[in-house]
Amino acid sequence: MSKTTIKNMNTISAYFIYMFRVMWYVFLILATIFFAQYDSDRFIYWDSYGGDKSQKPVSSVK
Amino acid sequence: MTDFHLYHFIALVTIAIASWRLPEHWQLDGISLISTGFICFFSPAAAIILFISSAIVYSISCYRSKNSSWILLGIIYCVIQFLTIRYFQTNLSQDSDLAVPVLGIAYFTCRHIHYLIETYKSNIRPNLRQFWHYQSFLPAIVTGPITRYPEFIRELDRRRWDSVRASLAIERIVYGYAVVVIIGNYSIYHLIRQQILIYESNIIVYAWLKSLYSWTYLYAQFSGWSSVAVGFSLLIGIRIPENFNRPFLATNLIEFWQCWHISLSSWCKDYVFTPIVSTTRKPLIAIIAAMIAVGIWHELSIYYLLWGTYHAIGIALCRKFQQHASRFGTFTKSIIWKPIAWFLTFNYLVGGSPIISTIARWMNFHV
Repeated sequence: MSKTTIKNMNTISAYFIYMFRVMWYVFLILATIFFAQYDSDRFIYWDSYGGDKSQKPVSSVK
Repeated sequence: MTDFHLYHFIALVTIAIASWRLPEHWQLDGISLISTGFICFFSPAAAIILFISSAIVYSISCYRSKNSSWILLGIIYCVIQFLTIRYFQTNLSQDSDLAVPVLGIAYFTCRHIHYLIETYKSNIRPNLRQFWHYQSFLPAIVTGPITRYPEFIRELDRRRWDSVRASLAIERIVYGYAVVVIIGNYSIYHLIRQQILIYESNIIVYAWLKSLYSWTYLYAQFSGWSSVAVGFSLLIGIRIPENFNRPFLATNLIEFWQCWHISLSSWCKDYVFTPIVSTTRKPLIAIIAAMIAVGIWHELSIYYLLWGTYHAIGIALCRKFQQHASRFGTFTKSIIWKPIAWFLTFNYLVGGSPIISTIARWMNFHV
């Protein structure tokens, strides 16, 4: 293969990788927005974990 | 997302825009002003407490920084204030008038103590404007990490727009929110929690799975929000320390605590472990004190006191084992050792919570 062909192939593969990354992030953003409806408000400020208090996971908001 | 998280996101985006679009001289003040406004709006109690304790800490740092008694007094004030708030948060129901949310108390208490000690060591020259920028930096105030003043100010001074850094920042923000929402809240909290209930009849398996669920959920939440904090800081042009580095791959408990909530672990190492070990020359006491400090930082309860002690024992055993590893010959260097060490570490972590929980419940009932 000539140098020009290899250079063109590199450009094309770089373009596809770039497009794949863009699509991946768009997918992640859309999925995050979609799944946000399943969010719970348990981890605001501090937990209101009912029942077994000693087993509660710790809030990430301190 | 909850309303709080939505407003938090909007505030962070506003800060990121303001940090580049405002006149250069006002950019840092703009960031702090928006952050202060956010804290005042969502947690007036935190704003008042932050203002009072900041005034005390800054006054001591400015006028009495060479007087060890004043520095000690400042630290005691910060600790008592923190423990009082933690006591109310742990023991009062949320309907109580005293149970007001104090946003970021755990983080700004650590920052205050760090500021006092480093001023005493002459590593910090007090500057009110920079102190304000440091204490009210919104990306790190709600979910950490515990930033260090000298590094933070150096980053502020070196701040410049970099498109590569901005791209990396957006990547971190997207990944952070995706981990919190998709992995943490949906996959673990909604899907896996239901599956665990199937094993309710087998108490040991159920307790182990429930503990595993708690650890993974906590990891998804904490690492996700830390990623968001790192991402927004990068977008503003400031690098803040990473908080997690694949902790569940750790092959011993010491390594785990070097990879889990790194900023808190290193804070406890510098301000609890090192001073105690240098005065008492007893590493075991220093380890127990440091791990109990980590526990109390989470919550003031018997459970977390036991939790701290449990992890301290684990770390002490690891140290003992490492000191005598040569007795096992080449076995600890062989290829088979790593999976065994990982398995033991992982089960010590996950298996610990049900044991501690049972003892804590017994103590709450009998003591």
